[in-house]
Amino acid sequence: MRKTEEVEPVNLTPMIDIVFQMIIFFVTTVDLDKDKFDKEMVIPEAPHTREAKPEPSTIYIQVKKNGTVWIGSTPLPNDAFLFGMLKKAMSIHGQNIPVVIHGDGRAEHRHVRRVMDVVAKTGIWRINFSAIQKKGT
Amino acid sequence: MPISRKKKKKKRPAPKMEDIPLTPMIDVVFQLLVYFVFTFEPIDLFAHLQVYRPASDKNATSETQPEVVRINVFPDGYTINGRVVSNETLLNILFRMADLDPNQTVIIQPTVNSPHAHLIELLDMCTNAGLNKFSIISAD
Repeated sequence: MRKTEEVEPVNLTPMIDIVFQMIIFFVTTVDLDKDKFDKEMVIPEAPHTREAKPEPSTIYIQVKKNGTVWIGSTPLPNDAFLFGMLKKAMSIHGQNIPVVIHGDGRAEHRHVRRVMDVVAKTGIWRINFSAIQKKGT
Repeated sequence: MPISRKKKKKKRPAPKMEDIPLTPMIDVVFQLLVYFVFTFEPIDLFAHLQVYRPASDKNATSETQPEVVRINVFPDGYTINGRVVSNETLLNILFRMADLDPNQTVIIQPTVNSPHAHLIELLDMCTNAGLNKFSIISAD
């Protein structure tokens, strides 16, 4: 009678250990960078290129399908505004800051060209085009 | 009431580790785990293709040397030094060029109405061939 009453409690410690390990794994591998760009944009693929090395103070300029220019989640009203922003960034970080043009593949070249012209006018010479090297499955 | 409680406590031995209720913690931990498993999303790896943008100087175009390779990007395809080429032919030419001199600068001139994807495709082809210097100039 007494034996049946004293059920040995299940040892939960190993399970909790593993569960915590998994949580830490998912928390640390979550990449917040993926929210930096609009998901509606279709970025062209360039499978033969090398993966980009993230550099601090990189300026990402998004050119959307309809030609609007965005930085982060902010649409820019005109080219003069972009020029001012780049000039300001240049005054802080110098002329060697990389600019990445994150252009929608469906956008016409004229819009990308406009952005390139503004960037070149500021004196920033590191212009890069963003492309998908490897698609996430 | 308090007296009876005290009595009860005195009767009991010191609480063992097993007495801590683990159920709420496990509940929460599982919730977190399920959340992270569901929100996990593989991301696209990006490449940054560096290009040169010569200053838009009207006189600069006349100084182009004859050995320069100029590729035009049109909405429906490419031309190399004025000759219409298919993608395969262009890639072959680029491979041969890269064999001769991988530091050869390729001047890319996209038309204003060509889609941006064509330019990236061309840059990808050049990189595939082994060329690594691109100048993008704009056609008016």
